[in-house]
Amino acid sequence: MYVHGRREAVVILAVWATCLIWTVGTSYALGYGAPTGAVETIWGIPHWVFWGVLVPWVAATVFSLVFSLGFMADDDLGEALDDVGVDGADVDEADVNEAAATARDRPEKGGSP
Amino acid sequence: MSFSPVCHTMQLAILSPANSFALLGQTRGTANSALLTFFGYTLAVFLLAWFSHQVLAKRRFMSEYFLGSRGLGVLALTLTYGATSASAGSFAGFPALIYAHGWILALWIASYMIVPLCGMGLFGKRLNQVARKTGSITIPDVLRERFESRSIAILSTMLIILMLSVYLIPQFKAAGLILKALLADVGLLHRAAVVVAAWTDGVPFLHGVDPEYLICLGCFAALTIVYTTFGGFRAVVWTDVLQGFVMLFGVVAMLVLALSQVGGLSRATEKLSAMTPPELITLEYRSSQPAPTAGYRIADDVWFTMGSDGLRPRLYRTNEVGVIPPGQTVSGEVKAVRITTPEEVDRIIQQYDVPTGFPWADPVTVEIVDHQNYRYGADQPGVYVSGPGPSPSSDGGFLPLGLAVSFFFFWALSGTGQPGNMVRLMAFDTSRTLRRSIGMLSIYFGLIYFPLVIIFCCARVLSPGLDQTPDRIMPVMAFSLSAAADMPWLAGLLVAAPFAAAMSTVDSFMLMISSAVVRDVYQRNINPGASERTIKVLSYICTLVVGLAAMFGAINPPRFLQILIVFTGGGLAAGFLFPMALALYWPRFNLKGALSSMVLGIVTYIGLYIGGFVYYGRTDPLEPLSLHPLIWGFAASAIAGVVVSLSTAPPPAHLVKKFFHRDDGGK
Repeated sequence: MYVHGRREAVVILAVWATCLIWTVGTSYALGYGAPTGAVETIWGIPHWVFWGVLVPWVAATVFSLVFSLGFMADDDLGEALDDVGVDGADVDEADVNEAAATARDRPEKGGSP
Repeated sequence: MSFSPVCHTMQLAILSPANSFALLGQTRGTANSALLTFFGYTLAVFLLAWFSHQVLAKRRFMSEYFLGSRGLGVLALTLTYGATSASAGSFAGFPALIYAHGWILALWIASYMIVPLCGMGLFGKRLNQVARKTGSITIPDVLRERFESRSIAILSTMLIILMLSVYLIPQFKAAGLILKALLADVGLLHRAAVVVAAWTDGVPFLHGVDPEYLICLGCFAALTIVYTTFGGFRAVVWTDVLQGFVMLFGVVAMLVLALSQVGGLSRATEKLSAMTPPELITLEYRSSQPAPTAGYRIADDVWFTMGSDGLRPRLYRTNEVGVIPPGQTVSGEVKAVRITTPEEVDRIIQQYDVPTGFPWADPVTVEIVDHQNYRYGADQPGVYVSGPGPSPSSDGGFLPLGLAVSFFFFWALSGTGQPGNMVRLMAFDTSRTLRRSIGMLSIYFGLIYFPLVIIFCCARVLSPGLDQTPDRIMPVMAFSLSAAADMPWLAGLLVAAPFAAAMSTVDSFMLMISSAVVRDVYQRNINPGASERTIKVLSYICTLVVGLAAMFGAINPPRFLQILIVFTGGGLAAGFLFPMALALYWPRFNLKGALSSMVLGIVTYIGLYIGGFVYYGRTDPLEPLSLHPLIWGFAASAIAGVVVSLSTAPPPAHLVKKFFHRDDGGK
């Protein structure tokens, strides 16, 4: 799980960096400079916004869907030790048993490495 | 296009007495619809809080009240995360920026494309797992357990209490103003305001405060405090779901109406590309004789012409109400704008039937005392449809390249590091819920933020001349779009969207502060053996006190509210993002590294703000290499965390084993 989480975090950071370069790079190349008054549009959107913001936005949304639904692992989150007092004396045995049962029933997809 | 510095004077009259609420040129006729909408919405919120309280009574108090028993499903997690992220700023400050600077705001907000993946995907599973494993209820809880240290828990608790308390104030103010706009035509509010004004007149703290605003602020505070106090986290989440749907409906409805009324997006962009930034005007009203006992009240949003540029008259719009007090002859300074785009001047004069000169008669005159051109973009057509966007205060434009990069860090990574967002990641039930929520939230944000850019680019064309008070553009558009579509009932629902945004942020943060005080300060450090009843009573009292304190702070809030929002949000991220990231993913990260990372991140961030205040004499921060202080705060936090950890003793082996190894020895 720790390894899964770290691996997924690396992929997410790489995607974030790609979006940064694509969005800011394209917008700067196509949309910055002395304003001329006339602007090329696509569907009424300035072309630099279309290629620099809207297209990567759609791509990032599609990637988020595919990555989260298809590639992220379904890991076991573990038992919840809620309402344990600071001294550890306030544990409700029924709650812990229920949490353990819930954890057992959870579907596993990727499992632990 | 330049304006003569000579003061211009013209005859102006008639006015309404200062205590009259009749607004010239504003007949909305939506009072009943707005009231009905508001009552319906309020009823729904209270019902959800009541149901939540019933659930609370059957569960163990602490984890239910502050974490909803870690049972959030897909819809609840998606919308509570989305609604908490979308504060009043998303529906008041952001539309105002779009209105003022045009299409460049699409780039400013662009990193929201990746916010769900970063915000939920980077920490989600690991944070939830660690919180479950240690029984943690709050973020300081997690850090305390991870490092077995009271000092880092206290430091993070203090940061959360301090920063979130400040953050609440602008949210309360925005909500009060939105509610006031929603109920502007309601006679009951006007009559109540007269009574309240009489009560508050002798109270120094309340003297001069708009009584209508005071009432609306009180209503918002009462509603939010009551349902948050008694419903706890579950009520907050359930109302977040309701508010999430209200926001989505509001945006979609406004998009359809705005596009249909402007004649299509191509037409709106074409008009925008021809626009040049307005001249920002300060004027005073003067009376030839002392004002009567009721004073003179000159309405806001009035179009008038004065002088000419040869071919066409100079066209102005007031942005504020002017008042000449009883017995005096001069008003306070009033903000106004002069429209500088020739085609726009012709269109507005024709469309609004603006008379030559002033629409009033004696005995009041108007005098222009100051005017200011935009420092970037003045007289340049196309500046609203290109980068870096027009700016009245910066020679480099609104969004130079360095800031564009900074904001990509700001929204995606700063959002990830917000304790208010992180605590939601401790509350979902299974990792399947998290995965589905990431996908759903990606679609939700796409449907909210990009359409907002389109709507308020259209607003520049549909409601021109509000550049000095752009924060009002959201309610102005809601009322004008609904009226033009002949659907006045819709205005109440549209205005409910920003109201819901403020409410969903306030309730979450009130609970965060309350949990920090009760769990992290009282139970952890003062009375570890406190009974559940004591904790329960203290939690209720604490939530109540936090809400009341924020309400009092919003009665006379500081002027630089938007700066406060950015400052506190960035400060929390600078202090929490890297300590939490390294704590979750780096076994070698130790306590000294965590403390250094947190302290240096926040000190660097605040230091650049203080440096800017000393250097510039105003609230702008220092931005080395044109990068926002948050980037430097992140850099300092990351470097300090890594360097200090590597140069000091490794963390105890049992902690590494506990958090980075399975019971069977795997990772």
